[in-house]
Order: sequence, then structure tokens, then C-alpha cells
Amino acid sequence: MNRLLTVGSILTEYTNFEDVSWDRLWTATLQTLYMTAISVVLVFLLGLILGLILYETRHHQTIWSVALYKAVSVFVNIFRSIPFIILIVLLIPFTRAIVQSMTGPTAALPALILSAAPFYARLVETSLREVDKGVIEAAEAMGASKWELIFKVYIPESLPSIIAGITVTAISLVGYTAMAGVIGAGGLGNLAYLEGFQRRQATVTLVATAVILVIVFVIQFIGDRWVSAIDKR
Amino acid sequence: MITLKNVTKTFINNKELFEAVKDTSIEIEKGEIYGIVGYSGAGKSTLLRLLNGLERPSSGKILIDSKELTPLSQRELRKERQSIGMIFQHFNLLWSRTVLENVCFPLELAGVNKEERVERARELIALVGLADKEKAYPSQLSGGEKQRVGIARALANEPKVLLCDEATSALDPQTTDEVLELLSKINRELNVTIVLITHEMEVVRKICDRVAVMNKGVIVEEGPVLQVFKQPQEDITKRFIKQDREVDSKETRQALKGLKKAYPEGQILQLLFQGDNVGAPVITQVSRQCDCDINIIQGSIQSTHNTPMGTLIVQVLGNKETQQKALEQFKTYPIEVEVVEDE
Repeated sequence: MNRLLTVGSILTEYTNFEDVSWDRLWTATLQTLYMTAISVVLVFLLGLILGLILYETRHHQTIWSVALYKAVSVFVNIFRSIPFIILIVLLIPFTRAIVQSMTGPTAALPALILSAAPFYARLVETSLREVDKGVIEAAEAMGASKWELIFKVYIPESLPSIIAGITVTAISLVGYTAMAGVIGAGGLGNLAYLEGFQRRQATVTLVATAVILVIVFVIQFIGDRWVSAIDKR
Repeated sequence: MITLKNVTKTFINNKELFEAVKDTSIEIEKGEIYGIVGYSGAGKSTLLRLLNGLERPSSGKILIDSKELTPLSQRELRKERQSIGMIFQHFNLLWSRTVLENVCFPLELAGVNKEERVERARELIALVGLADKEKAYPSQLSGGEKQRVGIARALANEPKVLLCDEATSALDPQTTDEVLELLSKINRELNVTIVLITHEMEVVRKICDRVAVMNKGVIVEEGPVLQVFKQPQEDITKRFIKQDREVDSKETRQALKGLKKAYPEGQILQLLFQGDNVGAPVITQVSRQCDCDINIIQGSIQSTHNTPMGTLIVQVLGNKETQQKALEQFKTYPIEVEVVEDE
């Protein structure tokens, strides 16, 4: 009897939809989408460049390429290892300097990008390493230059893997935006924390979670579709 | 057309020097099909890659069309490579591009404009017999079709030279013949000099004009294909030729054993005919002259690039004296005679 009562009260806690301000939910959703979209685009570009540098300089013998490889490698390893919630706090002075603010969605971007780009750079490096060496040799035998190799062989031939990588990265970025929300970046994480946790409105948390899940599923769906559309192997 | 003068290529592997190609000199004529045969690790792959500068020689000179490759800068070398086509054992097509786009690829690198690219690529795709497949992706093609695309791609920039790296080794016998036929046609019609490396003597026999046998980085024997097949000098060459001959097939060897048991006094000879004398009535004449019976065990005709080549395995019955006499008699004809020994 008692237990039934408890279950009932839990259920009512999760179904107090009058607690939810749909206006604020909409704003929070837009903020999350904004943070995710901008950071995905910048992480994609930065990660691709870093990944290419890592791959290209990996086996070179000259002092410059060894130095470049070491530098990028150390940068990547450090930023990939710092827990996101700590990184965001650590970067506050840096963020304040470049964004002129330490709250709001834009203020979350430096930390989002700096933590996800190194992770994605490693994924890109792995994708590039999987390109058939024979195809590279064929392109070299046809007289392709370094840049032609990169843009006409390496990237197109590893594109499905590069896209799958950015899909995974985008999904973890959605998670990071929620964490950033807790310390004032706005978005669905912020909503769930401020209204769901601090005001004990479990329904708000539930709804915010549902929206985040929808965002993640949509990203996964788009990523999968895109990969299978371009993968002609 | 292609000249190698005292070319050596050394690699450093785990701090140990390894000479892949040692002091090699070759002269390849314009319009010929030149075969380099050898086991894996013989250095033939490295030798081929020296010809388009994918490997730079440690010492020696390489001239293509009287232009020396060695002093060229990377940029000049890339330009030069556009006039040297190459095809590969595993085809090495870009999976992300259709047949048409794959053939367009070297033209893109050469800076040909789009309209011309497509036009030229379509011509080549038709030449290799894939006109209906231009929109297909490599994964939708069979091995033979992929190699045809590889050939079309290699010909896109109208090369003077076509390098073939084990181009038929991944193909079944029927497809191998088709691809060899295509290469032969390209050689005739477009007058492209072809250099091919292979470990299959059959390929050399079918399309090459001249052949070099390579072992441990050195060319041990070289000459016109027919001559090398008729009178191989080196053991390794003999081994390669044997592989290609049916004498070596299991069935024939079984049959030989059986016959030796049935006629222990017989001597087994292998006769090699070539070109015009394929039709000569050698057997009946020798039989009459020596008054002995000759048992025909097996006969076959193999075609080479220029002339047919016949092999006949016979057993001469009779005592030692008769056998010897018959052997001498055979040797008076313009054919190659070899006594087939026991294993």
C-alpha cells in the first residue's frame, strides 16, 4: 500500500507539466542547438586540420615536421585528457578575454571546441591511416602533388569515416553543452539544473532530457544516412 | 626509349643496408613489350618504380625518351610521371569515384578542362570495352573490369610508357588472357611501350617481345622471349619455364611414371618446336630412319607474342643403342631436344 503510494507520488512529480515554461524550454533548446552547431562546425575544421597535420608529420624525418608532430600531439593529448567541467572553469580568464563574457551560450564555445577538437583530430588521423596505400601510390604515380593528394585522395577516400567521426563528436558535444549549462552557459542543461534541480521540478528535467534525446537521435540519424549515402565501397 | 645505366637502389632497413637493385643496365626499345620476371623479393617491383621516379636510384642513370630522370626536382618529376602510365595488381582505383571519374582523375591532375576530360575519358572507357559502365563504382565491377578501368586511367594522359605491376596476378586465367589481349592491342594501336613485371612466365610468353629474368636484385638473363624459352641459360630461368610447361603438371608426371614402368627400356624425350617447323614430320622420319617405335605421350601448342611454340613429349622404344641413335637423329632437325630424366 505504502509502496504504491510512493510510486504514485513519483509519477506525479514527473508529470507536473504546468511547471514547464514552454517559452523558456524553446529558448533553451535554441541555445543548445546554437552551441552544438557552432562548435560542431569549428571542431570539424580544426580537428580536420590537426588530424591532417598529425597524419602528415607522423613519419617524417625533418626536424620541423618532428617538432610539429610533437607539438600537436602534446596539445591534443593534454586537451583530450582534461575533464570538460574542469576545462570550462580553467578557461574562464581566456574566455572572458575573447568573448567579453563568461556566461551565455557563446561563452561556452571556447571550452567546447578546445575539448572536442583534439578528440576529433585523433579520429581523423585514424581515418586517414585507413586509406588504401595502393591508391596513394597510384595517385603519386600519376603525378599528384601533396595538396592534390590531400583534397582529391585522402579526404574523399576517408570521408565516410570522417563523417561518422564528426557524428560521434557532435553527440558528445550535446552532452558537453549540458554540462556547460550548469555553470551558466544557458541551454537545456541550464534549464534542467536551474528549474529541475534547484526548484525541484522533476518534470522540467524530464522534458529537457526528452528534448536532448531527440537532438541526439536526429544527429545520429543524419550522420548514419550521410555515411551510407557517400560510402560506395 | 628507356635506358638504365648501372642503376643501384639501396634501402636501409633496421639499420641494415639492403640492395634491392644491383648495378642493373637495361635498354628498352620504343614500342616493345618488355617483361621482367622474378620471384617476390627479386627487386622487380623496385626496378619498376625506379622507372617513374617513385623510387630514386642510389646510383646510376635512368633515361626515359632520352630525358634523364635522376636530376629532376620533385615538381618536374611529377610532370614527367604524367607521361608514364602505371597499372597495379590490386587495381588501386578510388572507390569514391565512378568509372568515368576515375579515368578523369589523371586528367584533373594534368589540368585538363572538364569538357575535354570527360570526352577523353569516354573515348578510353570505350577503348577498354566498358562503355556501359561509366557510371558504375569500382565496387560494382569484377576484377577484370577494374583492371580495364585501371588501364583506361593509365592511358588518359597519352603516355609514352605503360608500367604494369603484376597486372594480371589477381585475375583468373580467362580474365588474364582478356587483359593481356587488351594490353597487346594498346601496344599495337597506340604504340605505347610496355614494361611489365610478373612472376608468371605464361604472361611473358603470351605478350612480351623481350624478357629479363631477375634474381636477388640482378638481371641474370635477358633476351628475346622465344630464345629464352628455347635455350634458357640459368637455372632460375629453367625453373620459370618449367612452371609454364605442362611437363611439370602432376598428371603428365603420373603418366610418365606409368609409361616408364610399362616400357622400362624406353627413353623419354621432350621436343620443342617453334614457328615454321611446328608442322615438320619429324617423328615419322626419325622412326623410319632408326627403325624404332616412337610413342607420343603428350603434345601441346603454346602461343607466344609472335610465333607458336609446340612441345611434344615422346618415348623412344628399343635398346640403348637405338635410343642413342634416335636422340642423335632428332638433334639433326631444327628443334630443341631434351632428355626427360627421372625425378
